[in-house]
This record gives sequence, C-alpha cells and structure tokens, in this order.
Amino acid sequence: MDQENNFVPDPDAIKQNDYNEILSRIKHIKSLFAFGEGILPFLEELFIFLKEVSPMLNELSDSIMNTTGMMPDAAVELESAVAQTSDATYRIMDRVEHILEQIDALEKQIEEGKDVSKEFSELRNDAHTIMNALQFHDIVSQKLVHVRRVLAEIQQKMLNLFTRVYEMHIEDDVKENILATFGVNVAEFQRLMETKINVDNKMTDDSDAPEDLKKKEKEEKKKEEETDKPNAADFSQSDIDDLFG
Amino acid sequence: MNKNDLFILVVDDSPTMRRIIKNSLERLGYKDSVEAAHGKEALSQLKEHPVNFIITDWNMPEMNGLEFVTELRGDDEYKDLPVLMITTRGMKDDVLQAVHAGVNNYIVKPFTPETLEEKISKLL
Repeated sequence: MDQENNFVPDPDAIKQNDYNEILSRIKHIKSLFAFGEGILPFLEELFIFLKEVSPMLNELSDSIMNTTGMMPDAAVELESAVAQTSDATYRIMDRVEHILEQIDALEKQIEEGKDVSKEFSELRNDAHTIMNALQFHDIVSQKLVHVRRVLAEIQQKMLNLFTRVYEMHIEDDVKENILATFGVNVAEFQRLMETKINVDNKMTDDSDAPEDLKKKEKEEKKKEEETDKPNAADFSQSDIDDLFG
Repeated sequence: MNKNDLFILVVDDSPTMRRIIKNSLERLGYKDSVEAAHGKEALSQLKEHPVNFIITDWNMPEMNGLEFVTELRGDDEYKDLPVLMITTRGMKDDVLQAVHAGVNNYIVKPFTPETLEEKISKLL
C-alpha cells in the first residue's frame, strides 16, 4: 500500500501471474498436441477407410440405380406371367366345361339315334382350342427366365460389394458392423467365400468340368441374354402385318 | 403350291410349342412336317428332307432364329425358302431386324390357327 492507501500491485506478483498464465497455456497446448498425437492414427485410418469406401459407395449407388431400374422391369414380367397363366387357365377351363356339355349332349343324341357330326366337330374344335391355349407355357417360361437373370444379377452385385468390404484393410469388428447393417452374418459370409474360392480353383482346371455341363451353362446364358428385353415398346400384330404387306 | 405340296420345317426349342404348331398345321391341312430344336439342327434337317417352307422361333440355344435365317439367305440352295418367324419378341426393332435378316413374315406369340393360315397362304 502507498502513502495514500491506494492498492499498488506487486510487480513481482504480476510477473508470477503472467508466467503461471503462460505455463498454463503451454500445458494446454501440450495436452492438445498429446491429444492430436493420439488421434492422428485414427484419422489416418479413417481417411484410408473413406478412400476405399468411396468407390464402393459409388458402385453401390450405381447398383441401386441399375437394380431399381431392373426391379420394376422384373416385376412387370412376373405380373405379365401371372396374367398369361390365369388367362390361359380360364380359357382351358371354359373349353373343358363345354366339352363336358357336348359329351352329355352326344350321349343323348346317340341314344336317340340322331346325327352327331356337329357335336363331334365342336368337340374337335374345343380340343384344338385347349391345345392352342397351352402356348402360355412357352411365353411364361421366357418371362421367368428374364426375371431369373435380373435376380441373379442383383445377387452377384450384392455379393461383389460384400466381398469388397470383407477384403478391406480395416478392423474386423468394423467389417462385421458394416456387413451386419446389410443383414450379413460374417461367419456365414466367410464360409461362402471359402466355398467360392474352392469352386473358382476347381473351375480353372478344365479337365474336371464335364463338357456337357459347361456347354449347357453357356447355352442357358446365351438364351437368357437373348430373352432379356421386355416388351416395353411392343409392335402390334397389325403393325407387323402392315410392314410385310 | 398348294397345301399338299408343302413340307414344313418347324424350328423351336420348346417341345410344347413345336407340338402346338404341328397340331395347328395338321388341323389346317398341312400334313407333312419335320421338327428341329434350334438352327443347327434345322440346317441338318434341311439336308435330310425336302423342306419347302420354314416356321422358326427366334430365341433358341446353339443357333437362334435370326442366325439360322441369315445362314439360309447366304446359301444358294436355301436362300429362296419362305420363312415365317413365330416368336415372343414383339418390339419394333426386333421385327425390323428380322426383316433385314430375310424373314418373309412374322407372328408374335400367342398365335391363332387363323393367323397361321393367313401368313402361310400369303407366302405360297
């Protein structure tokens, strides 16, 4: 205190406070550096993960876009297959009922000694109509082949994505979490991968694969590729007739 | 040519469809026919039988209908054979492709015997 009783700060105390302040800040900065040092490996791993995942996410996005496009197409084909089958079934049932009526009429006509040629002719027509209605079998088969191909493509794309995750250089528990979000059990997937590796190894040895089986698989693939266009922009039979004149 | 003169080659990988087509042909009075399950088999049948009319599907293994017709049109012996294509393919591009390959007429499945008769008669 000075002679007028005013508070005069102690210059030494001020210096001490400043030093304490500075030391405190240095300590704070040091702890930040320590924190940074600890977090850097994690950040590095995070960026590696993002680098690996980014193309995969683009692929997933493209897959979703493609498969979303394919799914309505496959759904349309299935709906059409069901409609064709129902239509053919009802036509066949109608003809069978008519045949049964004709048989009853024939029985009566024969008992009465009447001419039955008309009834036989109608029976014959009914039989031919049923035969023609069975074309649905071939038409529906081709639609189902297309749907099967779409489903196989989707399955393959998903399998490729899961494989990419499985092969990433990240912690196993992180992989498990990612696969679990897709409902994939890691143990099951590992078994699947091992099976795939064994099958792949087997397929590289041509002498083991039976020729008929490989040929059949190739033919089925070729036929599937040929049936993959849905009738989205149909040309009517009358348009076709106009074209050929 | 009349109906009795025709010897028809029916080419389709579906045994059901071949049977239906043959049944329709018999009903329409075309009694002589032979079958094949794909283009390659059809080419063999051409060598064995006096085929003068062809009904073919498009989607088939080994050699599809379009490939078969292209092969026919490139062969002096068969290039003028009338070809009727019966197929599920109903898009405009498909029909134009078939015309370009040399198909003479085209029916989209399912067909009726009346349509079959009309198309065959037009080509006779």
